[in-house]
Amino acid sequence: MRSVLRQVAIRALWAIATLIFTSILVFTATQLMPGNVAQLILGQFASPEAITALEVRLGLDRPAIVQFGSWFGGIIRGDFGVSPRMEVPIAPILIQRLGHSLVLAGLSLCLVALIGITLGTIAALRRGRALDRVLTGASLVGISMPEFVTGSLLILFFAGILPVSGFAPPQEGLWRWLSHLVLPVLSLTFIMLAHVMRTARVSMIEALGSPYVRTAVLKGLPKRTVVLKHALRNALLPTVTVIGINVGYLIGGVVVVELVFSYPGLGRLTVFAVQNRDIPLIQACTLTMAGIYILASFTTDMIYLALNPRLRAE
Amino acid sequence: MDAAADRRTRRADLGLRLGIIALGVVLVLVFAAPMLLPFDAETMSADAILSPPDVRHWLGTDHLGRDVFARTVLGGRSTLALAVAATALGVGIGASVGMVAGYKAGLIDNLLMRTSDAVMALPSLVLAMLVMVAVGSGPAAILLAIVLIFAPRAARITRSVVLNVARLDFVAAASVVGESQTSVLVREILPNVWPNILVEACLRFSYAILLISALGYLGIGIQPPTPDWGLMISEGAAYITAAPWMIFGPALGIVLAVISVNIVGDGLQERIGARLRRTTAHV
Repeated sequence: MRSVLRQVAIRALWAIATLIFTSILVFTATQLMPGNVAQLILGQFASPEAITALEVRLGLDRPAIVQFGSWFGGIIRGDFGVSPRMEVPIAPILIQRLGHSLVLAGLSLCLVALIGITLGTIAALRRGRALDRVLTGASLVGISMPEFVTGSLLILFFAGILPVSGFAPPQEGLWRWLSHLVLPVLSLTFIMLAHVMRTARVSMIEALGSPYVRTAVLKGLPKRTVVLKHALRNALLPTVTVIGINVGYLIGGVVVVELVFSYPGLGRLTVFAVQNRDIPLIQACTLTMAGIYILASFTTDMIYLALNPRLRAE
Repeated sequence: MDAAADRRTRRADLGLRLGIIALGVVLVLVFAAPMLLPFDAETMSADAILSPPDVRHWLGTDHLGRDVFARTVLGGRSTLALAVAATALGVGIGASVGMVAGYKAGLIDNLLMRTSDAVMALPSLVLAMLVMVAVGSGPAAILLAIVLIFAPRAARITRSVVLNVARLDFVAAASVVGESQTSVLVREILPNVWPNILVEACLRFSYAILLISALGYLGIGIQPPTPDWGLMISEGAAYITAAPWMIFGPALGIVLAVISVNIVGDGLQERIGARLRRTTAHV
């Protein structure tokens, strides 16, 4: 029990260290940005005096390390500053958009895990037969179709049947809310599904060929028990890792899909910030996405720990 | 080797051959066809705006009257060339770092691996966007972004193989005989590691194509009017119901290129799989 707590503590500390390093990286990247920030805000024809005055007001004349300190201190208090382009505080918008994105990502991840593991298991049980080959072939196509291709094709086929852009809050009715989510979630699910299915299939095949499964079969246990209780539990370990790794991919996918379907989430906000060179907004958005990923990796480690008795015993 | 495994290997070899043929077709189309095309990718024509595919324009024309086939083929050329360069550079640098880290061990190893862990803590697309913010968009920025994304992973994989190989007797023997560290790395360890590096490079190559297209689609990668698959699809999105052929060309390009690279990668992995399983007990 004590070793489990120690491992949890080590991973938690490592996650915090990574987050601090990431924030330094984000801050440095935005500092390197070409062009003068005050000039970007005031426009080409601003007088040098006006630019200097704005720099002093924004604190841009201070050394980089001091600027980092006040930025990072603000974030810890939940203050992400003000967006120069939108001229509003960032934190409330960030939280609202993050909420929209998490719904999209969460639904996709659940669907991917559920369908991916089921299809992978079925393909492994039917290994080498027609169904396995169809599923494996389909997954190859799935891996090769980026979200914006799948999304564009879905729009082409479902325009007029399902909403192809925007967002409806759940207060406006459950169906309206869900109908705006169907196509974005499908686009995200398709490409990740292939990854998860392939991993689940391979690890299931490995587990089915192992000595403990043979023992279970020879003991006369029903096939259902052998597959679900003995093989699947062990096959789940690599699959969970792959799902965890896919969260990093999912974050990129969410950015793309939100643009395809004009979905008001964190991804579209980030692209807006990058295109408009809105530095505080870029910092807030990228750091939030990195934070989500670090949290997801930590959670994956914890699930892995819970599923793998060998790690707990060490 | 039992009959079933034998059959699987033969099927994988067939897959590898098919993949190489498909990749060859894509490469020939992309690198040779532009010389034979009657149309230039950037010439606009007012009397052929959004015209559907026909004998003249095989894949139709876009909203500015440009030939979609010519743009698809040229876009493929820049995307594939950039993807090859970025993958070779990223995986190459990563593999070198991984070899040194795995062989030297100790402090250097710790330092290099912690740094790569920290860089890997950023989702790929977020890292790419930060690079675009820091150094501006364009092919050089995309190259840098992909190198930064690929190198840490390649380093980690290479290191884990080197750790296993460096323990073996022939490596110790080479040092005892008096080979220099560089010579041990290049002549003794590298020959045992390169299959893994090759498989990694192949898998990453298809991801590089997807990443370049995604950045183009988001409008922060290759800039117009240069033809680019992702950019073409985002331009076509506005005309999707009126002129769906605007996205068919680039979509087909991406899917064909990525599928053929993936098939080759799978085939390679299967073919040298036995060897990989021998050298990498736990990756």
